[in-house]
Amino acid sequence: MKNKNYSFYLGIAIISTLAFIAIFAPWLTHYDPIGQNLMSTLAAPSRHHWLGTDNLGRDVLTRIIYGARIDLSIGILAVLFPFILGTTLGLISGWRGGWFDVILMRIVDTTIAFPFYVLAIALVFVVGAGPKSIILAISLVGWVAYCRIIRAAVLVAKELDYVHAAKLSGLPTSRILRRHVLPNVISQAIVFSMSDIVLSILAIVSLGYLGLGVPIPTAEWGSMIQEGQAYILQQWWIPTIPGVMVVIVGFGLSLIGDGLVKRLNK
Amino acid sequence: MSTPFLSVRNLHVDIETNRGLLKAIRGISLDVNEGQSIGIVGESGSGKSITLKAILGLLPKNARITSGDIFIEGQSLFELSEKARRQLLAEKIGIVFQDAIAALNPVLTVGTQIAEIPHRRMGWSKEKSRDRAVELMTLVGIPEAEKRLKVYPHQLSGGLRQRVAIAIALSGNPRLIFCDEPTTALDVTIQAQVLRLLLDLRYKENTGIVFVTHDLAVVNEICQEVNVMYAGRFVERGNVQDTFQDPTHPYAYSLLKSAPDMDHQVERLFSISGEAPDLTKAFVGCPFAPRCFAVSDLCRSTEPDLLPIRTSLSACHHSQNYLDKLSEAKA
Amino acid sequence: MSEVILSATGLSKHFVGRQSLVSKLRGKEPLTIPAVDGVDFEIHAGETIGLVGESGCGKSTLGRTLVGLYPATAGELSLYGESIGQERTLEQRRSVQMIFQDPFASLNPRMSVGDMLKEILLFHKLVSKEKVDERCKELLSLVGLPLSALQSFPRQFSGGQRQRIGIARALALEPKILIADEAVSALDVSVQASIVNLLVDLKRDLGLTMLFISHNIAVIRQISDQIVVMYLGRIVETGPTEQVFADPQHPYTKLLLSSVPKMTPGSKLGEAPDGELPKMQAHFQGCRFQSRCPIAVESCLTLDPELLQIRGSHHRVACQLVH
Repeated sequence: MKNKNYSFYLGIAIISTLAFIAIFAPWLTHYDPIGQNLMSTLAAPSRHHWLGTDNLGRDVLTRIIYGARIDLSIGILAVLFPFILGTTLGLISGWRGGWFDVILMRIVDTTIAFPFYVLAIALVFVVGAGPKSIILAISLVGWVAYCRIIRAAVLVAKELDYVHAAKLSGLPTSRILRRHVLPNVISQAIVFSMSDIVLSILAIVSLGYLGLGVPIPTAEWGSMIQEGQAYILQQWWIPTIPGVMVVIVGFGLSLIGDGLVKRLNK
Repeated sequence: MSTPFLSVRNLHVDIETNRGLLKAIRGISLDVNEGQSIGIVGESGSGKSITLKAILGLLPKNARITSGDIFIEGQSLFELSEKARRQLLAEKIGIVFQDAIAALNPVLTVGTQIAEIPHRRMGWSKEKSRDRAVELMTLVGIPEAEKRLKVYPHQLSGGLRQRVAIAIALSGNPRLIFCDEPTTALDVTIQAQVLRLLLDLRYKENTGIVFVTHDLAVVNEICQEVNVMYAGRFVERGNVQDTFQDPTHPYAYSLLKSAPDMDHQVERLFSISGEAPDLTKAFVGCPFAPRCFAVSDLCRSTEPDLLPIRTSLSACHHSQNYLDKLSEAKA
Repeated sequence: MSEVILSATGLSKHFVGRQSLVSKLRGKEPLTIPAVDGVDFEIHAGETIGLVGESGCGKSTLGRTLVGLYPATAGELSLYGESIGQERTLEQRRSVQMIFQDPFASLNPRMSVGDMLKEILLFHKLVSKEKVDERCKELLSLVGLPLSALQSFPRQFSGGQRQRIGIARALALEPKILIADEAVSALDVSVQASIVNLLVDLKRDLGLTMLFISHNIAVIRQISDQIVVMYLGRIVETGPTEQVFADPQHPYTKLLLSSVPKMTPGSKLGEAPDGELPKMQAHFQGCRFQSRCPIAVESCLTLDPELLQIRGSHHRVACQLVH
């Protein structure tokens, strides 16, 4: 029943297409994403502007494409740091146990209780709006999930006989963790990271909508929704399509995530 | 000759797997008379567990009986509605599984579970069912039965749990008990107690037993008749003494010689080369041919039928003289 | 008698349960399970010792303590006369190796067989980089696996084949003692036979010393020349296999041997007194077997029997009524 993995490839197709569009943005559209043209604001979709223009005459399609760059790249970066940090801490904590583990788990519990948006807003006021504060906020809160996932997986793995065998063969702990434990636990973190990227993008878009994300006039889906919401009755596509993009990204990533689960559990 | 209590005729079962259609059972017939104890022996993949499940109507969703018939006291199960079939099975047959922890409901007390069939299906009053539960628990050798009624399965040891499972199996007054590896997970000394209990039940209540296991020694102790299963079919059937001393099928022979015996140390255990065939793939001839020391061209082209030889039945073209091939091979 | 490789004196391994802060403050003792409780025995070069017992007897724990997976709670363990604990030198580590029970959990699913063998061979500098492939091939043929196995991953093998890989891994380190912890218990009868044959062959060809832990008494009979019977953390009887089987002395050994179903026609199950394993306690009063013992007397409740020789032979029994 090979059709079970078509969804996986569909997910890959979706995300690669989006990534391609994002990377090759300048070659795909000649418009300037922040270039205003007050002579032709709120234009309907036409041959020149496939998705029309917004209230400042900027080409909507171009802004969507450049928005993909921002949202996708920040989304991935914002997950990369928590992934690495959380995995490393979870690995050590699960393996060693003891005081390190106890203290770390209390920190984890505290961090989970912390409201993310409050932290994000505070950081924006301290560090200033923009990609840096978003990534920082997400990282400070996001590492926790990876830490727990990896720690739980390590607690199970270290009781397995092949890990015992590795210990018995005298291999040093670093080698055991690196070659025997990590490759067998990391798949769970990878699967989780797929949905985490979606959550991060949602966070970025939400912050953008609140005006706390990437500052305007940079094209970003969240701020596009916020700016365009006033025009929702006539030029409904201006605020809606950025939202649809987020859904598509989420869909693609979750297909990949599900597909990975199936492949890794074979 | 009276009708056998249970009769299985030419049963075929297919299982849908993601590797293709698995022909798990390829034509099995079996008769069990009242009070008889029968063993079904095989290794993993032989189909012995599926046989049990097929007869009891416990096949998983992806498995189907594709042909054959099952009769209980002459009544064909397939002529009955689903409900009537279950009713008949519940009345006449008890089941004991390997893993009592999985078979017992963890949130109900032991007493409740043993009393369930009398109370719910036989319509007895609560008091009567409760008394019956105590009776059964004493019968299966659970000490201080009255006190243990309110105990939960996880509070009991493995041996006691298995006894509870047997008590539940007996609660409907079955004429036949099916056991699927009931003692495999138990310690040897506890296994001996449970096996002796089953033997006692046979003697006292004339309950029949169908015992599915991979453990040849257990079959030797408990069963009168043994059926050896390989690749979805019976390859040998006979009474236990004859089959164990003088097997008529090379697989049965190989299996017997590869099992270490408590009573002697041998120079070398017999080992069977190769692996059991993949039943998702079609094959020609005898399924044991690739691994058989007595194989001939006939074996590779025609699958042998289960035919009488001496006091047994054997599915082998060379059941008469396969042992000669063995000494030839060694020479 | 050949030289002693491994010897244990008064060896104990207790597992201590976790304790809540509240109960610690109340001065309560944490729940302790004395899985192995004061064991004396020796392994001589060239022997194959069969360690038997039922669940809770401590045989697996003993095996794992000997191999260094667990630190001993008390007692002495020495290798070639030198005391060792859980922290071992590389050479000591190599000397005692283990084969595990579950063929599906004993191999790293993400490492090919070749990589797994190379890793340990190279780490211990047992062969040079140039010679390592050759050595891997030698090991594979020792355990009866084809060369193609080197590039394959565990999931491509059957249970019996995985056990062979596990044996190859253990042998790669050229151990002095091989401890098999229920190494054939998860296998089908015919596959089990081939692995038992393999171990017997290796023992003969490589002069291996083995400790074979199993609950399957028939297999133990087949493979071992010395037998050690354990019950609730203690050794109750030990001696040459043939002698113990022919003339078991300890009531538990008698019970155990008579409970095993036999293949001989017309066999009848022995009389097994009813009774369950008593609960594990931190401290036992007197003999641990008295609750199930058919010949127990008053003094068995208070006297803890020692493992003593019978008539000066190598047959030793821990029962005051025997001596």
